[in-house]
Formats: sequence, structure tokens, C-alpha cells
Amino acid sequence: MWKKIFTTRVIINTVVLISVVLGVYLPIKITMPLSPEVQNAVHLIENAEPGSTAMISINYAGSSIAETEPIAVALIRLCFLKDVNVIICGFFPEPAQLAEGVISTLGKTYGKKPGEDYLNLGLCYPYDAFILGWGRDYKQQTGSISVGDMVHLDPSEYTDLVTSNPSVESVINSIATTIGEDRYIAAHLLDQHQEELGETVYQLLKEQLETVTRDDWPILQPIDGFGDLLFCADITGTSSYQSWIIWSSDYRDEITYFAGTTAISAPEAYQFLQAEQMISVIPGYRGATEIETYVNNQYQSADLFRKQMEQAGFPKEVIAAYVGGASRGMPSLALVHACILILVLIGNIQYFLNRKKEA
Amino acid sequence: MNRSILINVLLVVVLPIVLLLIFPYTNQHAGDLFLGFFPVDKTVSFIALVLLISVIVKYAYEQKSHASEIREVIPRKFIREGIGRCAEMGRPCMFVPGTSSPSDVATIAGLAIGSVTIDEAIDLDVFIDSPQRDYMVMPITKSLLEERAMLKGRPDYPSTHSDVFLASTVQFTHAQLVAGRLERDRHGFAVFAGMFWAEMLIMLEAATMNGAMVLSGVDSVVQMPFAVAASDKALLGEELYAAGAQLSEEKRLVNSVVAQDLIKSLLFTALIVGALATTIQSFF
Amino acid sequence: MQRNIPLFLVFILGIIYVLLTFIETSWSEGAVRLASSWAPLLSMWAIVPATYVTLASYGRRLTKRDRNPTTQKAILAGVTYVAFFTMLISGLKSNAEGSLFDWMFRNIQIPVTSTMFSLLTFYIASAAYRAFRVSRAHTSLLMVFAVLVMVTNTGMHTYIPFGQYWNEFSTWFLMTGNVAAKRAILIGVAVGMLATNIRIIFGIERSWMGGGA
Repeated sequence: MWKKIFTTRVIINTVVLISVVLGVYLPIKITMPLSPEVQNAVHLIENAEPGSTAMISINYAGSSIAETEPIAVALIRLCFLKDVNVIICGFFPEPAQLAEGVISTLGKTYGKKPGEDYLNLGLCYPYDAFILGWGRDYKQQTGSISVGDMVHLDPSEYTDLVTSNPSVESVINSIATTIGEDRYIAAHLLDQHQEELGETVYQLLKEQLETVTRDDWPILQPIDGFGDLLFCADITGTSSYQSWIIWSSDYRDEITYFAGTTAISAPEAYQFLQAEQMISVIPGYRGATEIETYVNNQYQSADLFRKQMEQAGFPKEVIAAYVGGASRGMPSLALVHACILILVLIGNIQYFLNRKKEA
Repeated sequence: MNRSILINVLLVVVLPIVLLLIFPYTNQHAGDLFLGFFPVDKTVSFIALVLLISVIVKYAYEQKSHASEIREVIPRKFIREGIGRCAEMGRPCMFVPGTSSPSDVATIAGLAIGSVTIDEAIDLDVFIDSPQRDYMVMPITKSLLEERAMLKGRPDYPSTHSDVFLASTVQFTHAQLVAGRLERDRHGFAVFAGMFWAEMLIMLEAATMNGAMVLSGVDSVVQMPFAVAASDKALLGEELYAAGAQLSEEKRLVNSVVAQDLIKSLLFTALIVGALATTIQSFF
Repeated sequence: MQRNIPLFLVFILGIIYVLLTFIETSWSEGAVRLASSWAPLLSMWAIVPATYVTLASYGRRLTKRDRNPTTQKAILAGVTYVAFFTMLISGLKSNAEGSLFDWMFRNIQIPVTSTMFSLLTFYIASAAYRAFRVSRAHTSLLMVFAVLVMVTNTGMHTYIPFGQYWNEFSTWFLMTGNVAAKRAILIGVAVGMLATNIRIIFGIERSWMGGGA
């Protein structure tokens, strides 16, 4: 009976589970110095002039959030501490929603103003057109409006609208989400829903749609293409970082680009590093830990960061996710890998013993 | 000298060098427009593309079959065996054409392999289970199944012997559904071909652990080690693209795979010559 | 006829799209933008039949009319139905921040998908145990570098003598050996992709639409 319960699979899974749990609770500390591939990005931000602007596209979904969000947090923290403005965008609906959380939390913590010190462009789809557009002449393009900012409506005006006509909210939502890049589609959608929205709302939205351009945000005033950005970065759980390289290839000389990926897709990214299409690769947990440790040691200790978040009024669980999010996971990571190494070793010993028996 | 050999030498040796010589010139004139619309810096890509198209089309429509010139990527026997296994054990067959949209070419390549699998399955009355992740690929798979069934004279087959449906558009929800189905229905043969991400290992391991014979095809470099570790036969990289063509046993498709190899040798020459030139240049 | 029309459309549109990348005028850019904005909108229509087929498939399981009906499957199908309609109705009502839909997205969807992702650890462990055999020279080489990268990537090297050198060597290897192999594969993949695309545009490859030659 025991043999039926304790199959090889069950034993392996139990051992792995135990090592993960031990990693969380044992007081092991792994501090990592900046490795060569992460160094460039960090030094770039460190040596930037205050007030320069960076663009980070956040493209991780819920599944890989544990590994990639710490990268985003560490990077944006470093940017804010060095007074670098941050523009955030997302190429897919789910990441765009997650990005809003990260940037607004950190913005509030460091007392940064939306529109001036940071900006969330929201969903930027189709991303090929988005990237090409930034390289060419972004001012020709329309304002892409974040779901959160809606169509630049005054909050009280917006609430009045929604309470008087509840169906408006979902329509505006869908317009804002589809807008992404193209005002043309937004206008088309607006026309389609003209009756539903009612004449006043329709006119108001149309007016907003026509007047809001990217120039309305102070953060975008001095920017006229990739050359004016300190860097572009993509933090992702998939291979979306490659789309930046593909679509910005015409502006290779202007753009400074690097990517934060999950550890598993990092080896694939090294080729772009070697070809100097990227200046840095931030490989998952390890990269995040390196930057986090560096920021904690050089600029603002973890305790100070925690205090600042508490002062900004964030609940405990949010603070726990942001403070030390990367370095907390390192012991588990190390233990599980050690565990896998031992399992491979045991598997090989078994294999050789069996082969001897057969021989 | 044989005329075709001469053309091949020209293609594989002379042309890459000519292209390499043009390249610095066109690069200098980046941003300039020829005739007001053609960007000069794209000349090399344009010539290369025209070349690629003409070589592939020429080979594809040739009378002669080049089938003997390439190695067998995967024998059709393998798929026949897998389906035969399902038929013998009375189990269904699992087919997942990747988890990406049809705009990924790997998905189309996966469907080409699926088409052969479906053919064999129809012959032996094997049930086909196909949970999909993309809502665009689902109708394509469905119509592929209907078309093949119609050609084989079994119009009732899709409704009685298949379950093609959208499992979920969320990556891991889809993977877990596939794993769950493999666990419950114990498929005899599982084909995973197309574009996959991290979820691939979950599906492959679930299939292997439940005793299915597994064929995987993946072009994502990151997923290749998992494909090798957890399946009976893995089609890696370009093998995925060649497999569909070769399995179909169609002259045109097989010939175009040979053309593909010719293009690769052209690239190879360009790489070697380019690397040498850069190395020599660095000395001066 | 039924097959020739799509083939013709694929050919014409494919060629036009290829040519558009080599034309740099304002109207060509506009055309590319228009096409890429239309694609997602058009593809959205495919959701309708997809949802119908899925619900029908689960409906068969729920009412035990499928190939191999069991109670377990029926319960699972029931759960799917409940989850689907809960998400749908709450989403239609509102998906703004603080709504039920948003709450479920943050507190059910994200944790569940994260958990699924983390399950990979267990699968990797069992696959490594089962399949990683040092039986030949090249597998031994693979093993050596696997250990090296694993150790340095997880910070274990900070506990080993000469750890810093291990780290540097690992980075060097990732930048050279790793990159060389990856590029070789990628070039092959790229050529394969291009060739498949050309086969599709010129109607040589038709298996995706069910037809043989």
C-alpha cells in the first residue's frame, strides 16, 4: 500500500515542496553584487541627469508576476530615487492593468505627480505601430489614453455622467481600451455608440477626443522620439521584448534599450546583448535581487522604503509585496535548484546501477 | 559544366558576396528614397527576398522530385504507430496546434502536422480531442477536420469522433485543462506542434506520465530542452516547418524544403565571408 | 471555387503587405496602420463561434452525452459553466476598479495563474530526474554547463570558493557558447518561417485549410 502512495512522483514533489517552504522560513541571506549584464542598465540610470525620461513597457501577466514584478519595482524605484521620469505602457490588456498598480503605488510612495513625473499610457495596441510611431514622429499620432485616466474627463463630471446613465461606463471603457494607439478607431466606436451615449455625452467625448493630444502631458513636452528618452525597457514574461528590437531597428542609433525577462527566457536574450542591440539583460529573480540589493545599499534602505510606503497609507500586504520582493525569494530559488541537482545525481546513479545490472 | 550546378554556385557563392559588397553602400544612404518611395537601405533585403521567393517557387513547380535529397525528419510511420496505439487501446488522440494565434507561422506548421494525424485518425476511427487556446485557430482546426473527413468520405466524423473547442485564452488555464484531460481520458497518442511557451512542459509531462506516446514540435528555443526531455519524438526548430511538408508526401512541398536548404547555404556563405571581412578589417 | 477565393485573397493581400514594407510613403504607412488596427477588431468576431462551441462541448459533458461520460466530468463541466457566467455577468455589469469583476480578476485569476506557473517547478524536477542522463560525452558537457549556470543564477556561488570567477565564467559562456548555438537554431527557424510564409502566400502549402494539393 505504501508503495502505491509514495510513488517516485509523490516523493519528488514532496522534496521540492519542502525545499521551497524551507527557503521561505530559514534565515538564509543571499546578497548578490551587480553582475556584468545588469550593471549597464543600473549605471545608466545612476548617471542620468535629473528630469530625463525613461520608457518602460510592462508586459507580464499574472502567471509570471512573481518573477517579473520585482524587476519593475526595483527599476522604477531607482528611477524615482534618481529623479528620472517614467513613462509606462503595456502591449496587452492584462499587463496594462497590472502596470497601473505598480506605477501608481510607487508614484504615490515617492510623492510623484502623474502626468509630470510619470505617465501610464495604458494599453498600446497594436504595438508594432506604437513602437514605429515613437521612432518616426510621435506628435503626429493621437493621444493614447489610459483606462484609468479615461478621456480626460473631470472626475465629478464623469461621476455625474455615469450615475445618470450607467451603460455609459462600459461603453467609455471599451472605447478607451480600443483606443490604444488609434484615434480613428476610437472615433468610429464613438460614432457607433452615439445613440446609446446620448447627445450631450457624445459631444463631450468627441470634444475631448479631438482636443487631447500627447502634448497635454508635461512629461511628454521635451520628447520627440527615441533619442530624447534615457532608455526604453521591456519587462516581460514572454518574448515580447523582441518586438522592440524588431520594430525599432530603423532607429538603432537613437534607441537605448534593455529587457527584463524571466530567468528561463534570459539565455535567449543574451544574443541581443552580444550584438549590442540591448545594453543589458535583467534575468528574472536574480537580476531583480541584484538591483534591489544595490538600491537598498546605495540609496534607500529597505526599512526606509517600508516606512515611506506606510506613510503613504498602503496596507500591509501591498507593502510586503513591494519591500524586498526579490531578495526574499532567493533562498527558495537556491534550495530548489540544489534539490534538482541532487535529484539529477540520484537519477544518474540509478541509471548506472541499472545498466551494470543489465550488463 | 552542368547548367544547374553553375546556377547553384552562382547562388550560393557569388551572390552573397555581391550582396555583402552592396550592403555598406546602401547603409551609408539610409533614409534616402529611390524614385521617391523605395528606401535605399532596404535594397539588400529586397534582393534577398525576391531571390528567396524565386528559388522556392522555381523548386516547387519543378517536374523532378527532390525527395531523396533530404533526410527524413519524421517518418509517417511514427504517426501511424501512435494512432494505431490509440485504436488498439480504444483511447482518444490529443492534438494541440500550439497556443498562439495563426499569425505565428509555427501554428500553421503545427496544423500541417495535425492534418496528417487527422488523416490517420479518420482511417482508424480514432477520437480526436483538441482543446484550443486561440479563438482564431479553433475554427481553422475545426474546418481542417471537416475538410479532411469530407475528402475521406466520412462527413459524420467531426460530430461523432472529435471534440475541438476553445479551452481558455489564458495560458495556464489551457495547459491545466489539457493536463486534466490527459489524466482523465488517458490518451494513447498526443501531438503538440506549434508555438508554445512555459506551459509546454506541463502538457508534455502530463502526457508522458499518463502513458501517452508523445510527438512534440516547437520552434521556440527556450522550450526545446523540455520538448526533448519529455516526449518520444521532438521536432526542433526548422524541423517543425519541414515536417508538415515532408509528411504530406507532396512533391511541391518537399521540393520547397530542398529550396530552403539552398537558401541556408547562401546565408552560410554570407556569414562566413562577412565574419572574415570584419575580422580582417579589425586588423587595419 | 470555395477554396480558390481564399487562396486568391491570401496571394493578393500577402504580396501587397510584403511590398508595403518596401515602400516608404505616407499612404503606405497609413495602409499598414489601418491593416494592423483592423486585424484585432476582425479577429474579435471569432470569439463568438468559439464561445458557442466551447459551451456546447461542456454542455455535452454536463448532460453526459459525451464519448465516455462520468459524474466527475459532469461536475467539472458544471463548475466551468458557473465560473463562466459569473465572470461574464459581473464583467458586463462593470469592470471598473473596485467592481466584482475587478476583485475576481485580482484575487482569483492572478493567484490561480501564478500557482499554475509555479507548478512548473514540480514538473521540471520530475522531468530532470527522469530524463537527464549523463551517458555520453556531449550529455556530460551539457551537465557541466547546466550546473554552472544553475549555481550562478541562484546565488549559490556566493557560498562556494572562487564564486566570483564562476559567475564571470558563466556570463562569458552565456554570451558566447550559448549565443552561438541559439543563433544557429534561430537562423534555421527564420528561414523555415520565411519559406513557410512564401509557401502559404503562393498557395503551395494548403494543409492549413484542409485541402491537399
